[in-house]
Amino acid sequence: MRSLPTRQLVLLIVLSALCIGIQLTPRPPNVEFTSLVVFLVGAIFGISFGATLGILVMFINGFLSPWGFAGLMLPFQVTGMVIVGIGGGLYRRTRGGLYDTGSCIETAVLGAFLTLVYDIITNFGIAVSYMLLGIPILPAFISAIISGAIFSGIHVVSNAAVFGVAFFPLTNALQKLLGGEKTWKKEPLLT
Amino acid sequence: MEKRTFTYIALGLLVWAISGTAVAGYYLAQYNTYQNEYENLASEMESILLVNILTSYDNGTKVWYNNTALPVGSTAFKAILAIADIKYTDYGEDLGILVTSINGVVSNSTHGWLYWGWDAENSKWELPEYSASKYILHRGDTIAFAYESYATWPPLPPT
Repeated sequence: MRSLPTRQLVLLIVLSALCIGIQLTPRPPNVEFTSLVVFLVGAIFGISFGATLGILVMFINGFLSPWGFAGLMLPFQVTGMVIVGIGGGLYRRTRGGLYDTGSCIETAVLGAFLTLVYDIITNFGIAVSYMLLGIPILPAFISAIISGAIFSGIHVVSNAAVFGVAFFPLTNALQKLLGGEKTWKKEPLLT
Repeated sequence: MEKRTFTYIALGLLVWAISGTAVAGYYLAQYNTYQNEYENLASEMESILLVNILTSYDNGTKVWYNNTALPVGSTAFKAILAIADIKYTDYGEDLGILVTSINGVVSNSTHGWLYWGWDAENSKWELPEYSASKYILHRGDTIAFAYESYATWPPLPPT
């Protein structure tokens, strides 16, 4: 089993703390930056790193959220955020880890798409809770999607904007800060 | 068109289609909710009538209760019962009910409470010759309960 380099481990913890901090910060409903950070990490460090951060963040958020313990929603939120992290990792593969201003529109579309997937998964979680109350799963799912449509719309549009505007400058800054992708390969650090 | 560009356009359209459908569904559900509420309200309105009621006291005080909502089939007695604190005597099925007191003003040997119906066609008050409990109200009717002297008959209509 491959061990996680110390720097990556520290970065994972720091980014998790950052995401949790953002999650707990008062903000307009369904406007969030966690998805961006998880996607960004996936896009810089790869699928496994992005997915791991997604699990960590949503797991901790499930307990610390100001809305209370996520309960039944927790696995669905974790799954949704893992998909965001995997999406970032896959995007990294298609771009070879190199991003430019042209990637803004791509990341905006990907942000909207992954947010929509996240919302569909969490709405399915709500449908499951309805199902436990005796409502058939399909009507419960449709009802959850429809009743949450406006919030989902806000979430998708805001994340499209956040991904489109912030992804490239942040990846650029982070890659510069880290000294390029080579830093994170299992090679001795340059001194 | 480059395959990559096509993929992102398709992805964007997919997001648009799903979100658009969900939002349309949301507004459809809202529309149905408000439509049902409107229909319930409209059916409730069908079962009520609005009437104007005047109470006229012997000291010249006149109080109007305009657009008073009552169930369809209400009588003049039900109308005064709805707006005032009254006392009455029930003389049975044939003669009906006589109002003997409205808001503390009690009938006596010289004065009593009479009720009038407004004849909209001829623009004048009419004194029905039967009990208020037998005077069926219709939408837009105007009635008056007046405290008047028995000294002159027929009494003067309320002004």
